[in-house]
Amino acid sequence: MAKTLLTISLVSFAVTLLAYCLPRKVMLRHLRLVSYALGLVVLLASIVLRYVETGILPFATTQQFAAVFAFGAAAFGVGLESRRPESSRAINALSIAVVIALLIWSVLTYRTQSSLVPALQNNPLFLSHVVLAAAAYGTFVVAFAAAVAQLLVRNDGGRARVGPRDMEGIGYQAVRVGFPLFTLAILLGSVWAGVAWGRFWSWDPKETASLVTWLIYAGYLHLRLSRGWSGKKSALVVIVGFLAVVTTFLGNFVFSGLHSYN
Amino acid sequence: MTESSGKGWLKTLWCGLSSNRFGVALIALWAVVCAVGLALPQQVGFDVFRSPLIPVLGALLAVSLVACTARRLGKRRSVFHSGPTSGGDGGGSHQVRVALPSRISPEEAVEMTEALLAKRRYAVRRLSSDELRAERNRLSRHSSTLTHLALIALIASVAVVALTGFEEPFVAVVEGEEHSIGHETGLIVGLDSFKTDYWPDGTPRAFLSMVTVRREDGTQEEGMIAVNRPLKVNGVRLFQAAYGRAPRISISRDGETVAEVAVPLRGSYREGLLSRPAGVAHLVSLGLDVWVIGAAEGGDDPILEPNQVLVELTSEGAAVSHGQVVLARGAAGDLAGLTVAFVEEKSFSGLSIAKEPALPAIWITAGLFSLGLAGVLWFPYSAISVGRTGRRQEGGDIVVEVRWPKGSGGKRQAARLGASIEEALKTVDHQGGISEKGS
Repeated sequence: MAKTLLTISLVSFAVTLLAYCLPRKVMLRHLRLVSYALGLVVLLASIVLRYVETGILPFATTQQFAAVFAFGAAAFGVGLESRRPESSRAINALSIAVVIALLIWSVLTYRTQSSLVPALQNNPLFLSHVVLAAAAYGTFVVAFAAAVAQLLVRNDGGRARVGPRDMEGIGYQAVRVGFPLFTLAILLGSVWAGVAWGRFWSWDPKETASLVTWLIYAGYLHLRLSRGWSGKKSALVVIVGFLAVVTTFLGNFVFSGLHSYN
Repeated sequence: MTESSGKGWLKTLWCGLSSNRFGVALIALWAVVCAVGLALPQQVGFDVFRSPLIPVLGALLAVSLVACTARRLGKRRSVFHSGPTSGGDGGGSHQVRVALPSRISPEEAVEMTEALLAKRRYAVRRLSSDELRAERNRLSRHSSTLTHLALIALIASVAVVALTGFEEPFVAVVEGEEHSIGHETGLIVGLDSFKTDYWPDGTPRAFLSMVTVRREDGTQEEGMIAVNRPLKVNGVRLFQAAYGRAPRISISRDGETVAEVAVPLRGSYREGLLSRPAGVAHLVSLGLDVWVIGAAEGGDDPILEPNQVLVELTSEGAAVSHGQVVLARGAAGDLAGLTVAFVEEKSFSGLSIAKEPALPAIWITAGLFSLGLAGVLWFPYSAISVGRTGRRQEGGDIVVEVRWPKGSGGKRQAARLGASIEEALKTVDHQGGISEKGS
């Protein structure tokens, strides 16, 4: 059942993406809002149902986390869509593409898990660490999409309804929301590592990759807030930051380490 | 070198260390070092993360943070007297000019602006009839400084833990045996029993070590150690890290036992795709090392049965092999003039033991760091100053100055606020008061 719901949410997001790509029409806006909301609600239901079915938090493997990650990105996008429908159009279309990619992977590799290794048997920290990471990753997807859109949108001297500066503003807002969440995710992960492994920091590949990601976004915020960086340079930093997010997310397949639960 | 040139050099150094440019360069350097360490496989001989490079970079970061924070605090002191719109962390200011409609006096305009700002949760203070100051998120005013100070304290706490604490990442304690923790703790840990539990699909569910920790004064504490449930005795924490088999090997010469030792199979011996658990015990009195290799997990070992081990005796340091023998449990064999017996098999528990005296300080400073970060990014301090230009005898323009963290949209903020004020002024009802439109 949880897999069926996951597939339904995937289809809903595919419809949303299609509606984003078609010309601006009032009916299409309604369609994409409905399909977007449906996709989000069904995705959440799928995650909750998976937990109810097994009694185990469905965040243990990278494939399971992909669904939570997709939810984080989609949830942030819905907020953006409701507040700034015009300026977020291109950004949300790109974000939804990432969400769809994550969900395709999650559906194709779906496997019912009925056991949890001892290291993961700490529900409060497991839940908070993973949910915060997924929420932060979600905002970074939106920031990445905004940076890409910023680089692609032509600056026509402010004549267009949505210009690169609007995209840049949205990207900054996304990082502004996501960075403290990511910091908390790392800190709670460190607290958990201290309890489970006896070391709050082990230079485990996933830990190190997340530190690199954190440093890139910290650098971005410093460059922007202290040194006034903006425009293409700051967009490139955000894109590099997202590449680090992808490396952190998929790191288990490249590096072994304490975080390998696949 | 003259005194003044010495001071000049120091000043240049201080300016460099406290500059944002240096801070950003350090962040970049950290990221590069970590990325390189992540990308290149770390060797036992050289590991970037265990090399002196990390403490050096940490110290540089701390110095940069101290210098940067001192500069901020110095600036803060110098601007404290320049009014409430100054002194926020790293702010920039933007001004917008709002033209007054001819029917409205500057005083009325400022009054309307006051109402508008109050609606937007600004704490407004009237300085005079035609001048006001307003602030929002006042508590966040110094959050950037708090973030920096917390990070300095965090680095210091980590250094204190590293310098005053200790960590034994892997201590193998065999069932029924004891291990002295050392490090002047006076504690001895003994493994009473070890239990494993599995899920129906064969995944480990729990590793449980029942231990007794004896103190120097003769008192003792019994407890259970499991993953996620460490045991704390006298500030020393014991964690469940691993477990495995520990075959007991007896060595005798001419019928007399000269050594008997349980060898925890804590490592692995690879042969093609096959991985066998392996361990070694050093018999200093005999000048021998006893290597023990167990059967591979899963029962697909072509050489060893599940109840067999391969024992090899080497000279100390594994320089010369004295031969090897395969033994079943309870069996004995001859090797290099000695009788080697596989007496029994026990379990061992791999414990990680650590004492981290400043650990609470790490979590407190990390919490403060997060709090500061949330203040900077989620509840940014902003201050607004509104007054008239006084260019005209009557009327005059209203000047709105917004102080806002640089790079976070202060210019737009000022423009939006200016537009709102302009809109409110246009829709004013002279008799009835003020209404705000589209704010």
